[in-house]
Amino acid sequence: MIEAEGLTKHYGSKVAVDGVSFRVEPGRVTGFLGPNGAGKSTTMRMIVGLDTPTAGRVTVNGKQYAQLRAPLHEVGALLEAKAVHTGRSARNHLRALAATHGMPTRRVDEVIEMTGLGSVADKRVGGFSLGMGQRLGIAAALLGDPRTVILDEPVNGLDPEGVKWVRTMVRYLADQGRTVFLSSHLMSEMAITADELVVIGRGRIIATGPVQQVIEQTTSSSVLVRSPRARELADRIAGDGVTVTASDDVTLSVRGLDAARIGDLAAAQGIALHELTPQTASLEEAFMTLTADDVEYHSSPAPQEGQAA
Amino acid sequence: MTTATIDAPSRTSHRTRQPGRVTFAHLIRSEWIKLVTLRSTWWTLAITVLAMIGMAAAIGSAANVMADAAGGGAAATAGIGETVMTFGYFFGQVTVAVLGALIVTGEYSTGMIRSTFAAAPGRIGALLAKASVLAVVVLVVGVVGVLLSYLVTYPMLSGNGMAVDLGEAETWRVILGAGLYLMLVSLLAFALGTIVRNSAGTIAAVLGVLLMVPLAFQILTAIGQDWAVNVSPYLPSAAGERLMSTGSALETAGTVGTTLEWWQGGLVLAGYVAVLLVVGLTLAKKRDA
Repeated sequence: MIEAEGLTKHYGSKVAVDGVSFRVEPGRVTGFLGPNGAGKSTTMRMIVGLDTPTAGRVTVNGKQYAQLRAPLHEVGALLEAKAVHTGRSARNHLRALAATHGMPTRRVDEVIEMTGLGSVADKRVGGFSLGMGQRLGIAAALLGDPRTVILDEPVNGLDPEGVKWVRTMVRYLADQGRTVFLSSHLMSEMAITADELVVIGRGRIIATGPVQQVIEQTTSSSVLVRSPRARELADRIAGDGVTVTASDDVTLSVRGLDAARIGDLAAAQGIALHELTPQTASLEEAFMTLTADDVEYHSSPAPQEGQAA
Repeated sequence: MTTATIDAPSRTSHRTRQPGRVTFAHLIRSEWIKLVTLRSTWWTLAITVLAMIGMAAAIGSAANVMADAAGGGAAATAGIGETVMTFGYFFGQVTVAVLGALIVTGEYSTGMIRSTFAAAPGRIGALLAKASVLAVVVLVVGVVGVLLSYLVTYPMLSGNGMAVDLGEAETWRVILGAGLYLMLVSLLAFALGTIVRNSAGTIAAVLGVLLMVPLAFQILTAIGQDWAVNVSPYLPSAAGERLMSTGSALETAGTVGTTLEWWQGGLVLAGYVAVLLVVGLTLAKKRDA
């Protein structure tokens, strides 16, 4: 369980994280979703005590990270930036980390096996591909068999097979009752991987809750209706909490009623329907809606050609 | 005779496994693994020893030639054997300073420090473990370097009666003193590294302190700045070099300015190291990693 209360981080005059409160429950995969620069990595660094909050606090299993006596057994973290000495082999990196908690070398072999690093374990990390680096980071996070796993952009740089492996692994970890918190700026990835969402934009929490609920809350889903007597139908079903938009003489977009109810109402009036299609917003659309005002870096138009001579 | 019960490790026992804690002994073990698994460590240590031997051999043969020219043993100056044996410190201090800097700045430049501090959130324990491992390794390598220098230069010096007598306590004080000097220099670099956190900046700063500052003071002394004469003996390098000096302060009292006893000099250098280390550890504890 991770609990943040009013967590705030300033870097000079820049506010990276602004009074963030959320809770990450065990046994679930919680996605931390937000555009780049939204404050995801800063929040995660504060959870593992690398950055000190300007205000507020964050605890893991009720304790602040710095108070943990065996932190690697409590929390395993893969942080976005590579946190490995490039001159050391993967195995020796893991051996050094394991030694801090007196873990047996056997455990190092286990996580190497688990993350598929066997063939490169004795090579220096400096020559690793991004994907191999991610696998090593995940190996380090799992080393202490922690109850809480924090992964910052775990699928970054992984090939499709690696992405699938991460998905399966986080599901497996959550099913074992562990707390799994992973960040991503890819909404599509979150829709597949996460149970719960914490959506952040410009350092502030925009939405939290189960994935489906976040989608429903943020984009009201609508029903597409086609009928030769569309105008008449619109009059019949319009009412409290129901909005009907007519795109043309035969097509309606209805919000506030589900498809079954519309069908029943039409049948009761003897109005023929040619189409009745629920339009569910994807997480991607929900995310765009949520963060539309909170994207820090908007893409600027491409520079004019011919300027660089 | 096995009396302890051996419980078979179960593969699925992540809930029942007795978790190890972060202890200073564990951190020492971790830092030892880190130090010996980097190629740069072996390079710097090998260069340290080879350079020490090489410089001792060069100055030893020069001393031998001069003694021969002056007509043999009678010309041997007191303490020449010790000077030759420890002469390599001058180059050795550069390489151990680089090692002391890299051991910490290398972690900052690669991001490794985040793994280190995540595993040991107290931070100070991890840095002290790192400093301890560095200190012991450099002390041992320094003493080995001096002893090898003794062996290599013995044939050159013994002919003119200039070789040191390993049976004398004073000789061992000089040998150990050279090792201690190198150890303190590496710790000075380490402490600066925790403050500066950047390899090039740290190495430049420590070499400036060790090599450039004394030069500046020599110039100041030469142009008649009397205060410089009084301050010079307390510079980190000048004070530390007293650790391997021959002759007590009394015997060398004829020279200008104050002369510190070997132990006084050692304490002065250790003082600089302690102050910088306290600053470095305080900053490391407070700053974001």
